[in-house]
Amino acid sequence: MKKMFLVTILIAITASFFASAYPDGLEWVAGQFGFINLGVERVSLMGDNNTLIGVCGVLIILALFWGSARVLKKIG
Amino acid sequence: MHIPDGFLDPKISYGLMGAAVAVLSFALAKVKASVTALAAQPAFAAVGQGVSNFAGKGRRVLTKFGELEIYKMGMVAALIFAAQMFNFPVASGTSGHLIGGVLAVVLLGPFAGTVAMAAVVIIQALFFADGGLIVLGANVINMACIAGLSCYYIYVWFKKYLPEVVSIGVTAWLSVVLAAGAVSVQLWLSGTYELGLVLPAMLKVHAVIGVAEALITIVLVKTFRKLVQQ
Repeated sequence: MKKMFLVTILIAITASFFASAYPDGLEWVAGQFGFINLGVERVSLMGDNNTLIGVCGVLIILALFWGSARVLKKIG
Repeated sequence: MHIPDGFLDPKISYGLMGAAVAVLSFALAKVKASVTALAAQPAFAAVGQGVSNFAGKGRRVLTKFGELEIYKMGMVAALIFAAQMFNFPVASGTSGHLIGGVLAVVLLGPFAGTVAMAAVVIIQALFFADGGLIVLGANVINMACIAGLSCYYIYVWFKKYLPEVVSIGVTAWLSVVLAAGAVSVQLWLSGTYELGLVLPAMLKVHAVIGVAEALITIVLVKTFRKLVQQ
């Protein structure tokens, strides 16, 4: 499990440098058909730093599940 | 594939939110039943308490296996989040990224996989502005239920006739195309755009993105299985 954790963090960091500026499939189609403007832009809590987003996301998700396991263990 | 707020009609959004809550509650109940067991009753403590136990009020406790299973769910969800960061360019100025629904259900089974995938989508929407909040239900339905839960059964069916690696790849490709189809139908039902135009365009782009989904899913399933043996 430890190794997998390290690999996951590594993937998050590496992948964040490969973030493409191109729109994703849905955004591209929305752009082609001109309904992209309907979309509401929301601002991320972490700003635009992809590495920070990747690492924080991984940690938040792990904390959520590992926390649930602890709570379930306590209350039964 | 994350739909932003504004693309879908509120009625469709809230309807799908209800559907997502229903499917997730069911999946969570299934997961809870699999990670817990009825607490063993000490002998003779049954005298008074036993009656209520017979009435079916037994306490459920987390099993050792269950605890590991939850950690594993967390690890798979974290892996999907990390892998989704990887944006690969696709033809003509488009990019794609992993959904991960098939990865989740192949590694965790149908219900734990759906819960893990939904957790990724919900955290992305709440913390990272990836996908809208009103359309969160739609995103959960598309990525966790259609590309996840339903694809588990497709994967099991393929596995009867094909080698496992091939079944994973084909299902992963199909999951992206199915999700793209679902998004198109939701856009059409919302009156955002005509189905006849939006559906072929969505399917075409995602048929290409799906190939990457298939390759990444196969590699990550192998990596995960190698590194996390129990």
